[in-house]
Amino acid sequence: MINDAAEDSDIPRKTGYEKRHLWKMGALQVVLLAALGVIASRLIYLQVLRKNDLQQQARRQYESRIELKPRRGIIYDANKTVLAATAISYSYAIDPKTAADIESVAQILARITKDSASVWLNKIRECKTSFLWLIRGRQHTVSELEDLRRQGVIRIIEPRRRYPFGNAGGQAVGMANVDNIGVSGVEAAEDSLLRGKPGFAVMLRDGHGAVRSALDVSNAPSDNGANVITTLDMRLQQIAEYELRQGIESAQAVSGIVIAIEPSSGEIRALCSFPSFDPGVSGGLLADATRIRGISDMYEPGSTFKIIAAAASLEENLVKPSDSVDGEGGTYRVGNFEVKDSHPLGKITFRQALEQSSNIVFAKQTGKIPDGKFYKYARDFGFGVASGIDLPGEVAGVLKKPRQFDNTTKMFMGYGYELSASALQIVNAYATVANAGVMMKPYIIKEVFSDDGKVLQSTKPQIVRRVISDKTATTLADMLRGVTKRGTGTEADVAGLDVAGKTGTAQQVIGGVYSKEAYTASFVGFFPVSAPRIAMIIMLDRPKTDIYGGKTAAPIFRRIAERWAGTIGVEPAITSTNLTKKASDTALVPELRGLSDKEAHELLHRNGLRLNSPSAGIVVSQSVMPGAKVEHGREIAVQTQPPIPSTDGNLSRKQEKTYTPPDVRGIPLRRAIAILHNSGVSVKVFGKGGKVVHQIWNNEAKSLSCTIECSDK
Amino acid sequence: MSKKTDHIDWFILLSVVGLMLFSVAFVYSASAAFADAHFGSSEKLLVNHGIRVVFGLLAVFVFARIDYHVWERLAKPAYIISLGLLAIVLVSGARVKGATRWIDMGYISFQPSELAKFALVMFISAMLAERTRSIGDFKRGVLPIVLWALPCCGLIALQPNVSTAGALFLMMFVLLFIGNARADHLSVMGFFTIVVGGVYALSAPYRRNRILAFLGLGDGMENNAAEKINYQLKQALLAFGNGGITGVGPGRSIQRDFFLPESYGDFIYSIIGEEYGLIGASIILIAFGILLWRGLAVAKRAPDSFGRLLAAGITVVLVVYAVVNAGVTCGVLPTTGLPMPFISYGGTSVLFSSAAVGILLNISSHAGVYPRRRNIASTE
Repeated sequence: MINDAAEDSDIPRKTGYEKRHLWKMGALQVVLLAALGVIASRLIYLQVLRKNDLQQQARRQYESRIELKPRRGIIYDANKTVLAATAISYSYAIDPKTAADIESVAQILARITKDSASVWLNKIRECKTSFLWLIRGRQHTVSELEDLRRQGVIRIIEPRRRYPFGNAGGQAVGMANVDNIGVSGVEAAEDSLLRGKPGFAVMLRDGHGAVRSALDVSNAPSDNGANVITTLDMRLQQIAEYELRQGIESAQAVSGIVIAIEPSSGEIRALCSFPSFDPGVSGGLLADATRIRGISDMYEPGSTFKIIAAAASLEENLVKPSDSVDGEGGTYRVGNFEVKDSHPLGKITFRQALEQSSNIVFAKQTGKIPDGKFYKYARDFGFGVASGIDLPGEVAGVLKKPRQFDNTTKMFMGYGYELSASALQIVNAYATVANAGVMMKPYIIKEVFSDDGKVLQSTKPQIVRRVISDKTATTLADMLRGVTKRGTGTEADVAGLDVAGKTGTAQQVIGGVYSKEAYTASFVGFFPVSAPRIAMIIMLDRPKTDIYGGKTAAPIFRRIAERWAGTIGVEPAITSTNLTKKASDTALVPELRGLSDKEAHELLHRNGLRLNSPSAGIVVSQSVMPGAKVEHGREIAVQTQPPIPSTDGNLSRKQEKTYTPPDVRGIPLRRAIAILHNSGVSVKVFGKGGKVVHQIWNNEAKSLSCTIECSDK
Repeated sequence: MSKKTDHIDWFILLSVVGLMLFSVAFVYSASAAFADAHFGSSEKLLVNHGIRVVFGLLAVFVFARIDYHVWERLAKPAYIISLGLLAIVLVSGARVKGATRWIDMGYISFQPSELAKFALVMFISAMLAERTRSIGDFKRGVLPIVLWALPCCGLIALQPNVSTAGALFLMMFVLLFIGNARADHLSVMGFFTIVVGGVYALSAPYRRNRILAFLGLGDGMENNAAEKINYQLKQALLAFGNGGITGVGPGRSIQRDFFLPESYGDFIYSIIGEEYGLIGASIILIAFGILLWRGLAVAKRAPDSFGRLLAAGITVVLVVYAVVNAGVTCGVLPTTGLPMPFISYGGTSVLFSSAAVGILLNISSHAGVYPRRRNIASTE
């Protein structure tokens, strides 16, 4: 039993333990050493043999791998204005297994959400997993929940896409969903670059569920998405969007499109359609609002397509603008078919035929062009083939091949039927004319650069082909200028801006027959004609008040062109006829707000200035502030508010829709009261002084009233 | 080896001092998260423990200088005092986790069972030394010793702290065995002890649950009792496994971050296993192995029966506690509340264990464990 015999001999005999009992000590030692040995072997079992398994189990409870979401790239317009950007948002979740105080969590949630505490309590209790979303996508942290983060509440920082301009440019910019995936517009077109690369972080969790970052485990940082500069000009886009909406409302159209393109480069400057949508607001989206109608919808173009026959005829020397053609008195019969002009024409020049948009002349003119040639010009102008714009969803349109032509096909095509095209194809054909006959490939993505500023992709203007000669293009442009000067498109012209263009009014096919009620009204053109900066199409679907493009689409074109002219550096020239001779003198701009349009006109006239008022009513704002010194003869644009007939301040539903209450801040008190009174708004005034500093609208359902505060400051 | 330690067993001294010094690091690692959460300072328990270790080291050297024969005379009064304290603790002690084990004395709280543990060892050793000739007689030799030991074990068991009571009763058997009690007496008493102890262990639900849970029979228990009991053990096992052979490194335990409850107390050994690995955990076992080897060597060479029994008793108490504690943390024994001597956080345990080692060292200086020096007699 005794294994340390050497020690035995050392024991002093005199004091030692009696030898016959020494085995007991030895036994004790053996038993306890054996116990230590058992533990040692158990440790070897745990720490060597089962090490991997136990480590894995431990890791499962302390490690959480968190995906690091990359920041989605920013989308800019051509002037580097942010159109879409990703901001941080805060979300909270709970681990119901480790959460200490579920009751107080539920109480807090009841205060900040719609659901009651008991609903939350049940939700948390019934959750079987160790993760339950509480609230998502908050712009700021929630302090009450922050306090509970040690007790099982988890905060997750997530990116959230924001679109500062909302509806403006919504379809073109497109949207990205909550999973950071672009689903439409530029967001979808450049999704792979915008998205970036996700990384991951390994976080350590303690037994209470609190998460902290691990210092020494491998983390892979995310790569932020690349940024995109588009060709859009947000100033123009906003103007176009606004004017399109106004135009659609006044024409009572179903939908509408505006596309503006720079002819020399093919850069898309504005791309909008109505109905529109705000990509920043999730849910309830309809394809009606999200799709880019300008590239995804096909129309029979109607008269705007006459430019093809004109271009082909001129280029092939089949006709000269001054050549005489016959309008046949308004009706032209070919077999069973009848071609009609809405305004009958007799013997006119070819130029006049385009200006007056004679269907008969163009139907006849196509007969002189060989099928193959006609097809070639239509094809070369971009019809029947997708333009290749860098946006998803473009259609190619339908253009019949010569072998598909029957004996009337070419005739109908001459004035824009028996084919279909997108608005983009039509405007690009006009841009080709504006660009001296050279077609550019339209594009919206100008540059993509990485988060650290490296340019990844840059689009240079790309020539598609020369379609017609410089000379033909110039002649055509000059003829199109005549359309707005004397023809069907006069409403599109802006004094001094030299707009060239063409109206279009196309019957739509409803149930297989050409409808007498459903029309596509359009105006497409460019300006200034001498050195075109913009080619633009306005297209209205089924206008009600007037079917003609020249009456519905052309005014929209004019208003947009007018407002754009300043921003793109093309000032409407002041012609000698409307300029008073004292050009060197300056005039003081008077206060016009509060006056009626007639009073304002008289006041300005006395001061040697002119009034530009779109409608009668009370002036609520003026383009030049009072007190400014301007050139003599300058036109002061004003916005007016029509007086509301009802005196009690009640608004009918219909009025409410279009009514913008006048903002009178900064206006002298007496005039402010006049403006408001004339607008049917009841006013309460407090404060002392001559000028309005605050205006508070009283939130009542039916009547309009506001409180204004004034001061002398 | 300096001149001062010539006469004492420096193996014991070095291993114990080593354990105590390292325990400061262990306690810090194991308690930092808890202390931070509860006291707002991760060093709170470290400071407490550090102070106790300093006092413990003082106690080692002070008690090593006191001739152990003093304890033969003081054993009975010390034992009676500790019985009194145990009675007081039952009446007025502070309740911690369902058991009453402490006397709160303002700044420090005192655990009388730690005193009773060593007082009982001394007292039994003293009684056995008196009865070297009559030990063969049950009534005059064995029975009085058992009867004296019973109130101590009973009072501790009533706290309730059955594991300590059981350990002390086992202690008594070991001393009776070394003290030459007859084998038939020991077996009969042992049989009764097992029967009574077994019935007692199963009488309280929490004890029964612990045992059933340990045996893997806890499925039918109320309120997931088995799950809760096994949770702590499972976390301890994960800690060992996570440590592997070399450990995750000092201060880098993950299990102590609220996964393993009481990581700084009875389960500190698993945190050592996690941070210092198999190597670190084995070194602790080796240190207690050295204590066992040298302690029993001292006992063998002790100049008299009292010294022999006392040395063996102290050694066995310390090693048994270490074995049981380590056995519990690594899952070979059911959960008990025995601390790891010198290492677990707990002031009374450190102080009395240190004092006991001091006494053991004093015995070693009388035992001539380094006979090559041959100067033992001259120093006496």
